[in-house]
Amino acid sequence: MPGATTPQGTDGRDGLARRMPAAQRAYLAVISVAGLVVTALVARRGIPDVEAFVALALVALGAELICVRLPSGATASALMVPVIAGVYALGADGAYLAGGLLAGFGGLYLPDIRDRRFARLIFNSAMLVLAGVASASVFSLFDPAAGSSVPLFLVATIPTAVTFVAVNVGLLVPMLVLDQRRPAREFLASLSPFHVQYIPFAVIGTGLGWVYLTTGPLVIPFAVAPVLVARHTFRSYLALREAHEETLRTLVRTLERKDPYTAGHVERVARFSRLIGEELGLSELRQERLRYAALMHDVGKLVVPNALLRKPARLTPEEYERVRLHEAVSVELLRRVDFLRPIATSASPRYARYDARGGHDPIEPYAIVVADAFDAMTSTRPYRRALPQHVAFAELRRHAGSQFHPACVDALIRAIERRGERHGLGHEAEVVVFDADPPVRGPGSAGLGDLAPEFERARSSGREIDPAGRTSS
Amino acid sequence: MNLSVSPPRRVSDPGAPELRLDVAIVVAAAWLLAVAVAVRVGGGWGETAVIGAWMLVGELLTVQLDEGDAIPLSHGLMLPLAVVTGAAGVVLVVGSIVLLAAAVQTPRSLRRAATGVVMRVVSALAAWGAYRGVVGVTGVHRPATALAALVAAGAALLVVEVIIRRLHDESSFGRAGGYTAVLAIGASGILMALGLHGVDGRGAMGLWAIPVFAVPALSARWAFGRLHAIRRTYDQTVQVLSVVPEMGGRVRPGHSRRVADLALDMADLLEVPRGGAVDLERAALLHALGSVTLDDGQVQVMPTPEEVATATFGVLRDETRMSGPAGLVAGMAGEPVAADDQLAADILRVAAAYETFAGGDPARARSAFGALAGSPATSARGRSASGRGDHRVLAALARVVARRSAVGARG
Repeated sequence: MPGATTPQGTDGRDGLARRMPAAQRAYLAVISVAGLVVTALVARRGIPDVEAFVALALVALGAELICVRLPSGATASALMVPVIAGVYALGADGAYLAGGLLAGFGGLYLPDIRDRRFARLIFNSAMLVLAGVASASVFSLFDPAAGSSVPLFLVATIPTAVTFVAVNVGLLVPMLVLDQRRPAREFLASLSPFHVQYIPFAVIGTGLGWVYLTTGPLVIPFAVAPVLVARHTFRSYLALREAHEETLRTLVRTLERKDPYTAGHVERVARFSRLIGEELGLSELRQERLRYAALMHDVGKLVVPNALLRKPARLTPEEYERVRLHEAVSVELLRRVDFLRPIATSASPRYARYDARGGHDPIEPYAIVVADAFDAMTSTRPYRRALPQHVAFAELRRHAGSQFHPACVDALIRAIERRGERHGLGHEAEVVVFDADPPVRGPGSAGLGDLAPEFERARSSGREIDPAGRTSS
Repeated sequence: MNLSVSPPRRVSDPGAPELRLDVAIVVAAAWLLAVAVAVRVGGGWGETAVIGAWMLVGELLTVQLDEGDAIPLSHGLMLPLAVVTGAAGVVLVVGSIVLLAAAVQTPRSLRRAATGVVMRVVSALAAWGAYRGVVGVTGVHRPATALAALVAAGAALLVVEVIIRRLHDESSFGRAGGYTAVLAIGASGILMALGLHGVDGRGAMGLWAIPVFAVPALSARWAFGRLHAIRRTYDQTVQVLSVVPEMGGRVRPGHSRRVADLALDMADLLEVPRGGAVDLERAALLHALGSVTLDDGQVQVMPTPEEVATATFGVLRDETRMSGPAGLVAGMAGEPVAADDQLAADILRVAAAYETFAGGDPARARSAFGALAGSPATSARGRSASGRGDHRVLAALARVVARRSAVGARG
């Protein structure tokens, strides 16, 4: 249940503990002083309804205490609910106070107090005070004295919530940049997917604030219960997602133990596929599906006898055909996972040839085939050296429109060039030491993708393939 | 290499019924027309009709639990409905929306729709009766009494629904966080009803209360949807990996599934908690995966249970979190496990060993028990750290095998 991205997320709870550089200290001081000054200004007005303020402050403290840590490293909480409820319930006189102080309570993360991480505590609280007061200012523009119009307040909820998030993230990201020395866009990318998720919490806050005026604190548990349920369920989801990731890692390790010649291949294919997916602007859901399919695209290799995978001699045509059957097995197994069924052909370069299907299917299988081929060409195998990156790019371009989907080829090349990455001869990330004698020619999907056409030509003309993968009479 | 992929013996989840868009559009248009007429007529029927329209939407939006069970969000709208209308209105609205929802979904079944109407009308009337009963005694002039009446209505709805479900198909909300979903939907319904007319006429949001307080229930639905989707993907991935060793000829066809079924039956007898049983099933399905890494020369015949467990532990060894299914397989391979997992690990070890010897053939049960008695699975080397669990686990195995034989003989 993504909610408020609070500063104790990626800054993170582990940051700010060490000695800070001068620029970071200065930024911390500026935000802290600004937060203190604003707090003093809004507190001068006094608290119009102490009971409501205390009740909602407890909700704010609780919301942060049970925040959920996301895989990206950020945290998600429902702080928006008590803040918006307070802005509404405390009326025109108390809106600034509610927005500022209730949000500030959200910064009082109890584990930080217990561990005496006071710098982080002060920064988080000050930043949230500023975000809360800014959002209350926006809310005031809608004339809270009107009081009787539900649609007006629902409309006001959206800019109020957006302002809160914008100030929150706007003040947080510079601190993250100073603390972790990484580009701001990386943090913005990890925080942005959850911005729209604030709106539901803001709507709940508006409703709670409205009903609170007539019922008092009795109504709070009824608004909090569904949020707690959503949080509990979302945590279960994250735990199960991690268990699924562990299973996929186990699959990858099993593959590499069975066929050590292709160590790292599956994970590199998953990464290249993700680059293509990002470049093509696939949704978060499709990116996840692409990644799972890439990690499982060689699962069929597990049913190939080790004697064939590691054979230290030439494969006979019969053996070669038997090894290639693993692609059909992989496709069949991927079809059994509902989530992957639409892109099950990812496991077979033969099924996902661009010229065979015209690229009308989902694009994910084509992306994985391009990633697979690129990794095959830029990795050293026992039977041949890796190709230089520019040669691999040229090969991909040469087959774009026939074997490969042109958009996927363009996307991969663009993504790699923009990042300044180098792969292939002289730039390989993993140098594999082979304990066993290398096979004369290597099977496995990476090697097969490379050698298959040549092998087919050789077989049809009665020739054989030599250890370097070249044909000979 | 066996390329015929046998389907999983258990379908984990048939999934939610599909929505027929074309039919849904026609029905929605007719319904909106009816609502417009009712609103024009005015009075209580206008509110009732609008709530009914929202209920139809809520009937189609369900919180998806596992094992094919789902809870429609429309349950929450029973409470505002109880506030605005009488018993006849409840019967009319609930009956019609359940029928309409059944009409726009596939597969369609008249019997199923009729049963659904009866079940839902009875539970809705229980909620209505509870609300009116409490209101008759306390009135709704104070927040506490208004809330008490709505809580009573929600409780009556839940109790009657659970009773009917148990009588009908023995399902219950208790699985897969069903009661937490009910809590979220119920709390949202109470807020809707409270916001609708306010307390004693003060603070009424009117019909805006419905969409505003639908948001908490929708948040819960979103979270349950994510959970359901990842659980389905995870379980299907585990099922896929469970057939790999048999396709590679390293275990007999169906071995992992049979070990899982046997282990689950034993866990049931030994009262392993539900969460532990879920991990046990996944561990049983994965326990032979590592056998595919064994050199072909090592396994001219089927590998022993110990070789299988050791090979699988070999590929799990790098796992940072040696808990859940991975922890049980580690325990099966003789590695130390958490005290809470010891019983499940013992069950898995014994079930896998027995199944390796019996191979799914009841006729081999006696010889399998004989082989088991002398195998490392029950000898000192393979015994659990405590050594206390073996007798119970073997006794549970014997009971499960005897029960299956009896059923088989009768069949």
